[in-house]
Amino acid sequence: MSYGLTLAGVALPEDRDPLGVCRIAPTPVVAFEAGASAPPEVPLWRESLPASPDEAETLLAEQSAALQQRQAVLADAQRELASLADATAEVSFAAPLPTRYPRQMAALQRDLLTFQPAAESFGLFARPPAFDVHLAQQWHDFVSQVDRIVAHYARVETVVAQWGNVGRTVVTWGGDFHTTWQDGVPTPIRRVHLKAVNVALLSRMTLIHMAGIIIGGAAGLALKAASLPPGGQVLLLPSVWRFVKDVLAELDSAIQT
Amino acid sequence: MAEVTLQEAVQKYAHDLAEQVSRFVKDISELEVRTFTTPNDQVNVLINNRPDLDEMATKGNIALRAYTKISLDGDTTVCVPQDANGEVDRSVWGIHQTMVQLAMTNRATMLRAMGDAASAALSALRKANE
Repeated sequence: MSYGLTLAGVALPEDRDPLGVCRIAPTPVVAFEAGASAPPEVPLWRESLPASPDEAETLLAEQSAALQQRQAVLADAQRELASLADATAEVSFAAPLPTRYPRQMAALQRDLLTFQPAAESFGLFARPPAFDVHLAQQWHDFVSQVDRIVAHYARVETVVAQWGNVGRTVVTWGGDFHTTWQDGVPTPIRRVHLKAVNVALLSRMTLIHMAGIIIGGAAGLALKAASLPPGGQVLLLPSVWRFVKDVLAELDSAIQT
Repeated sequence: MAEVTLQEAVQKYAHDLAEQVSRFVKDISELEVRTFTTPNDQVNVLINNRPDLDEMATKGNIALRAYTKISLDGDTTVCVPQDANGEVDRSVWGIHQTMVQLAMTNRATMLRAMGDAASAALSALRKANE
């Protein structure tokens, strides 16, 4: 049995959690007859844990700490995006900025430069605007899936070795909790499910927060990208999505080394 | 990927968030936490078939053991579980109370996160339409 948190019913880009905490369960391919539609699957966080409550709690504490680290990094990314938006009020997107993420910031600034008109071009783009179709598709898929997370109930199940499925909690739109426990499960194992619910809800909230940071960051930068066509501010979203995703990936590689 | 499709995705997201926040505001007057127990042989039914909990409770396949409803006006309804001896079943009650705390914290945090995300999305859409 492989332990850890799995998210099912949500098809995140590249089948991976941008926060790096959950495994993403592959979306089943459903064959359906003409006229029939597949029932929408409610997002499900399933925590698989070892039988020892101490070991299970250690694993859950690690997941919780990892999510808190991601939240701190997201707050960093949000600050960096705001600084870039403020700085570009007076200087060009090309000006180097003090940043904790020089590589990711340089890539973002390169993209943004393509949204500034060349001085001699009378409003025309200096270069073809940066618009990566693959990134745009990824962003579109991400925000659509976060939308699913927002629009559905959250279901959390805890599977403990030797016990099987010990608890299942459904969190409704209004925040009501309905929990079902397997009879006869000892209290230390039940406590593990409570912590699993906490971790799952933290993961859900962090994904929603991440989408908000990307949309808000792109909106802030859009004010400075003077040459965007009307309504073209959304063209910045894929670049900001990549920036935030790469900043999170930097944390993952720092942890691995 | 057309620009309009990206804008539509953000638009739908903003719309759903706003709807969710408004649903939250409507529902916020009450918070309900229900705790059930189920025999081992019903666990797989519950997990695989995902039946309606009320229907399962009616059939006697799960038992409602503890219930809390907190109203914004200060009214609180609490059903405390008893064991076979008529004493408070402390193991179920303790877990239920922790669940109530978690539900209260989650509601406040989610409302804040969704409010922030909805306001970012709506402001981005306003700018896109300027």
